[in-house]
Amino acid sequence: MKTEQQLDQAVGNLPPDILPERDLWPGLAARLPAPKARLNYPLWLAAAVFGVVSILGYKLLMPYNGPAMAPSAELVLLQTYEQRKAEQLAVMTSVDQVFADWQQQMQVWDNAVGQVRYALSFYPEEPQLLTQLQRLYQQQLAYLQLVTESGTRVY
Amino acid sequence: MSVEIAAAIRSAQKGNRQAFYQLYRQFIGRVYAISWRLLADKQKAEDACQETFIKIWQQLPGFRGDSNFATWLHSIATRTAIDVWRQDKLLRLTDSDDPDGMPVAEITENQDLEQAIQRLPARARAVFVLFALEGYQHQEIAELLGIAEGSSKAQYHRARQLLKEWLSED
Repeated sequence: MKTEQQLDQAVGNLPPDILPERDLWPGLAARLPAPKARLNYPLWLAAAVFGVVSILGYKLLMPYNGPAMAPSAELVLLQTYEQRKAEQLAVMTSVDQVFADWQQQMQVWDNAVGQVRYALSFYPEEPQLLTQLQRLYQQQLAYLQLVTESGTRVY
Repeated sequence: MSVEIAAAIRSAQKGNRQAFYQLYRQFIGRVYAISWRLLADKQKAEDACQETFIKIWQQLPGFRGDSNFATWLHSIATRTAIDVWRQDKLLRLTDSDDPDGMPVAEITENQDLEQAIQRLPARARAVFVLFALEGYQHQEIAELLGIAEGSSKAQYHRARQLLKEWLSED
């Protein structure tokens, strides 16, 4: 090989792919970390929600010295489930990539809860609306638990 | 990009290891070629390959498809191999840029261009592989390797001279 042209031609003929002598996959697969999505949800927000709900719960449970008035069923549901949601958010550190859009999913439930509560403002003791509200909260809480558990799952 | 590869990328982005294995099978040859040619060492090339695929796995959820997947993967593979190359160069007590120290008998016995590239001095080899085989420009190579652009050009010229000389020895 004496000319530049010959060298260029030889370089151009080199194969783009070269396979390693052994399969690297077994060693590689053992080193692959579990896929995790970083939380966009700030922990301080979860702590703040937890704090607000705790205060709200404390005030609801405190003996009331004024005229006797039981908290509405809606308020009890709200207090119960919001506190449990806040507890889940407080222990959440990371979530599996599969649940990357969990905040949007939670928002969908929040919107539905808001609509039912709006209806309850007109019919405060309507049993069907209260049942619907409870179901929505149960579904949302179950989903949140699933999301929280996904972050601690060992692959 | 084939439909199968696109589907494998989407699935691997969600954490599917089987889909990622498909990507590995598809691109391991390309990644190993870059690593082996740059590092001229089987063990280091294998290590660099594994590092490359781990980075791809970790960064895959953020891959939005703005660029071609092969180009994106190629860029990670090149940078990973260069990181190993730079560490290796720092660890060497003496610079082996002098080809005169190599056994002449082996050079003349191995007439193949691939083997001749492997025998180039480390810096000349890296520049030659990046410029002639991977399509980088001297300015990019200078930044990647932490050398002056003029040095990259000089090393490339030197590599070509050595290759022609060695491959002419019949």
